[in-house]
Amino acid sequence: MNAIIIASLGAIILMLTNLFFRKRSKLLSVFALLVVILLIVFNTLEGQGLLFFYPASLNSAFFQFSNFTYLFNNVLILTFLIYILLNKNYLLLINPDHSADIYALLFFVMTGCFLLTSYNNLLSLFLGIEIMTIPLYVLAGMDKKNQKSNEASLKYFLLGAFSTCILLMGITLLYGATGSFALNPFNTLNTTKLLGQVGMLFIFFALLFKVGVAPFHFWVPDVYDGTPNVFTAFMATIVKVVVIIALLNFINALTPNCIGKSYKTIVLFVIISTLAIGNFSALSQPNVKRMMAYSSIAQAGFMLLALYALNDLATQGILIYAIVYSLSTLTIFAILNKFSLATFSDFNGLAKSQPLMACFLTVALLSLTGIPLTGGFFAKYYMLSATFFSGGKYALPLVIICLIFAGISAVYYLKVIQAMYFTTPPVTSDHASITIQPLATLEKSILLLVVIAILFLGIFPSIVTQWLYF
Amino acid sequence: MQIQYYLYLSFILFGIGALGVMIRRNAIIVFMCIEMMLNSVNLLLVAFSKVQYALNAQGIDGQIFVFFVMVVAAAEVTVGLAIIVMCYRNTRSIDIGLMNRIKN
Amino acid sequence: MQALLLMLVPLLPLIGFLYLGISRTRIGYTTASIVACGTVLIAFIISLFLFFTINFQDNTPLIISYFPFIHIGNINIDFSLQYDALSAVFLLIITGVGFLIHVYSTVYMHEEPTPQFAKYFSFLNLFVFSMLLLILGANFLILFIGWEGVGLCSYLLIGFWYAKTAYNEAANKAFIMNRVGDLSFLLAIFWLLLKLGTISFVAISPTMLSSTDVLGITLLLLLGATGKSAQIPLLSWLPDAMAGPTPVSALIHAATMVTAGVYMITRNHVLFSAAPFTMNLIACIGLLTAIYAAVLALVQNDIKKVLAYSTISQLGYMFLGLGVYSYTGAVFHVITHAFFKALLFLGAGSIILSLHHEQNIQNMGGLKKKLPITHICFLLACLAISGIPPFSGFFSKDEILNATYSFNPYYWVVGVIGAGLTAFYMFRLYMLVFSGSYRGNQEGIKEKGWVICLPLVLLAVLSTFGGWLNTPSILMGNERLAGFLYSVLGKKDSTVIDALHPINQEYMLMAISTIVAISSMILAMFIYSKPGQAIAKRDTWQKIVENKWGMKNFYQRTVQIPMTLLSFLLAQIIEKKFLEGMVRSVINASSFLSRKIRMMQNGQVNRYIIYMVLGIVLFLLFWFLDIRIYNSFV
Repeated sequence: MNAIIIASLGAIILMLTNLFFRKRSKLLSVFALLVVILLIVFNTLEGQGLLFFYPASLNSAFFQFSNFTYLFNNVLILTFLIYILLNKNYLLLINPDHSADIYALLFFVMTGCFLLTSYNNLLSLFLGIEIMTIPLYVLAGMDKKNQKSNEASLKYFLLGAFSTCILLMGITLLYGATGSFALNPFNTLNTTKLLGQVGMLFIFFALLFKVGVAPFHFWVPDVYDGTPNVFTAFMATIVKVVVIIALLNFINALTPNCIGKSYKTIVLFVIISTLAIGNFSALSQPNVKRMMAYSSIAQAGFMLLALYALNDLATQGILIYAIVYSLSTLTIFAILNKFSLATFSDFNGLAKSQPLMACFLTVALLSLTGIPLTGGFFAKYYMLSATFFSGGKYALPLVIICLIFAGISAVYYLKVIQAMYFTTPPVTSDHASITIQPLATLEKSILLLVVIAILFLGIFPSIVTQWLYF
Repeated sequence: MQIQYYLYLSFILFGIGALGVMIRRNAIIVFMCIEMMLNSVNLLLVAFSKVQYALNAQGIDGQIFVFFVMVVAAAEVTVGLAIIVMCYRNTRSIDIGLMNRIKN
Repeated sequence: MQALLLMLVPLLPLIGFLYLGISRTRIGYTTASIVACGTVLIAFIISLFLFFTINFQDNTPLIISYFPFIHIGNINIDFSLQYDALSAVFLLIITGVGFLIHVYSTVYMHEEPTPQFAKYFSFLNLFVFSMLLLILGANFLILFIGWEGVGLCSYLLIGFWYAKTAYNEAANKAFIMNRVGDLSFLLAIFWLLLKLGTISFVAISPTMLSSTDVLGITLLLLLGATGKSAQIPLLSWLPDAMAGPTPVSALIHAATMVTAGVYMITRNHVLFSAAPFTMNLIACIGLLTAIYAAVLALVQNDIKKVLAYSTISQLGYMFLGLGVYSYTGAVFHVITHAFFKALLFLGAGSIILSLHHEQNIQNMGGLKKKLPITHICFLLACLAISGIPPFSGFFSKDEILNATYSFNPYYWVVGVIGAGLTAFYMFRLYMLVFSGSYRGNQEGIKEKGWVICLPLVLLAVLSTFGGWLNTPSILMGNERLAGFLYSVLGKKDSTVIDALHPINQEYMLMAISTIVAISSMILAMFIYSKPGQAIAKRDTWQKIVENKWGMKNFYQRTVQIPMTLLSFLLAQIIEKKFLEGMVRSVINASSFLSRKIRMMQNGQVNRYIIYMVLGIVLFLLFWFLDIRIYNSFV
């Protein structure tokens, strides 16, 4: 609860800041970091039972807080902290006149995220989704003069608004079937009520759209590609992960009775088509950023395995997956920031010119591939074993298919590694074509910590999951 | 109270809106279609709310929800129109069919 | 104390890797060499210490849990290491041979610039770490981590000289082929976890599994093993992997990593023994691979390619040994093979280095005088691998063949033919490289110093006397290895076989295989003796046309032509068309799919919405209409 309040207050203050302190852009980052630290402190304290702003019982009609919520909020906040530290210079560069607005919008998105991790009511779900996405539409178009950014923004907006309509229709139909917006009365909902079923499915589809999985993934590549790098990093990590958690909460709130028997078949189809589309499209992308867009679709497919498995192992798995995926993706995007153009050939010989950068990128990519001793291995391992243990006769084929696609994903991730280590940089006559900025010291140290965290999770994955039970 | 008529009307409006989004290429019209879909939902919410009230005298939720939807829709309008204007300034066109600089 | 020491064994190379990796731009040759070799040396010393202080004869292996890895419900997977006789043997091989190869590398890689040099050693240390993890892991998960780790290191080291794109492709091929094996391996792990709830080796027993489970799991594990150990059908990566530096080929692609499959099957021998079909399949795969690779080795002209195919062939023998339940024989062959194959590769490396990276044996010859030490060592290794008594290879190969005979005499016949081929191609290689006169045009060929020669000499001693480890009782030996491995492998398997056929027969089998080996050795020496330089310069086909007369011609007709044809057939049709074709068609299909799927992403918002609505409609239809499929989910 404190997280929601602090994040929204921070956002409002930052929004007003732009009126008075237009030129003091250095202070902005400091203030933003301060708010983030407050968020961590208050969220952790609240998790320990110390409340400040919300005296009454926490689990109200609108919100429900559990260990998982607090843990996940902390994960989000830490990811956000890393995100800001890695990107703060670039956040100021995108649109110098509106840097305070950018921070304000980011904090609004975070508010929406916190709503989504703790909602207990369809109204808070709806508000969370909207508070999260409307600022994102703006952020996508923040690079006003760039036509690609404009296009990404407009596409994101139109498609997003359409999916909001689907979500609302779903909520309304569920309301019509149950007479309440709360998540719990769904127990009374059974498979015979046509309206309720359609409503539930509509909400499900709308959330799948926000995650960006097939067949609702079409916005992802275009929007990720057109959006300025810094915001793509934000959308591909925090936002994506949060929506999956929201989706998981939504499905968990439904009893097996009202989920219906063909739920798993649909999820199965969604996962397989997502993996196929994400991986196959990523294979032949010349541009690393767009490759990352497709790879994030594929990774979302892996995360959706939690929706298939729906057991404790899946909950732990999604937590690890979210952390590892976010950290790896943030690392990759932080390095992509340094490139003016990011085709595969731009990475040629990076290991020679920027060994540290190449090393960080390698760990992140290996982690996304799922190589042991990186966190990505355990992330995938948890998800796959969750699926495997969930039973059902499609579990084993699904695991096999996922493993095959994980193998395919190795091809395009390794292509980058190969370019960095195994090709010599082209002998250019000092063209402007290769403009790779070096990493700043702060970025270096943050990335080093991130990489260590990724490797650490590859050795001690149970450390994180144990927090779930404290 | 005959709820199904409201349902039909609302579905028809929703369907027309969705169809418009699918086939129109003018960003403003697509946007209006989306608004129409939102409003069809509002209509349905109010109708359901009324049904709930008739059933167990507690149907205020749906009507309150409508206000939230309206507020959010208003926010979306602000953002959406701003985005469309921004696009228009740069390209002198709001035809979304021409918006395919990013693809494949 | 033991826990700490055991942990240190894999930890030391890891520390070496981290240190070298982080400070590779700042340290010089000396520091890098000392750190890399030192860590492995200390690991070796610890292994020796453990070997001599721990009593292996009690049946409970030493298992040490360090920290919990995964704890979910009733599934507990710890990070635990297991030390028993089997691990001890492999530990000594890996650290011992690994150390020698590290030392050798310090000279071999000396031409590289410093950061590259340190990078090379950091990879090599990482490899040793992964391999040790693989060997010491007490459960499948740790083993798998090592398993993937060695694959990654192999990938990194094959592509080490990345300037040539062919090397890159070789690295990719190795990695992808290994992934195929790893995938099935992982599935086997899941299967075990599902059925047993545990994946630690000591807890796995076939009695708790149904026969279908055992069959399925062992088949999946077998596919994993074929990937790592380069057996049919996943073998074509290993010859290409020779693109890496030669010491890497010696360490990874001959002595250690490729034997991981053999280790894994031996480690789970209880499980495998319960699946007769799988065992038979292992034997067949081993036999086929042994013959297939031996035939291909006959016509290779790259010295490292010959050795690569010979490695595959020898691994085939190890698999044959496993398949006929002679686990001790297989492990014994792993040991002797590690000695003589490392020696062969290092010898080849010494030759390659002396000839300034010339690898074509047609351009060698007459190196006997120029490289005397290498020559002697190489000759000993050739004798060992050919199975000439009393060199080590004879004993290990003989043990496997003996067991094979009692398993199935037809297998034995094929195995002996393979042994003959081995002797033939090894001495072809030997003659072309060392005898005759020099055909190349390099000046000033000489040995590259004692650092290169010392490992050669040590390995030569080991290859010569390695057979002493497990001399069969009929040759006044006391079968030390079998006795040592008793605590792991249970009853001494050879005794069962001894009972099956009388001692006379055993002598006879031994004699036949020896005669076959020696005669093909002599045959090879005869064919490739004097006019070697004349033949060797030309293409094989021309050769045949030119030497129309004489006994040589007869031999060539009877031996060489069919063999050349067969090799050609195998190499061109099966390897190129079939195996490569499979890989290529998969690549083509996926790039085709990739293009098609990308077509859908055409940038049109309307189109996207239509797809989405279609998706929703289809899902809704499915949800409400397809009642039959409902029943499959409860």
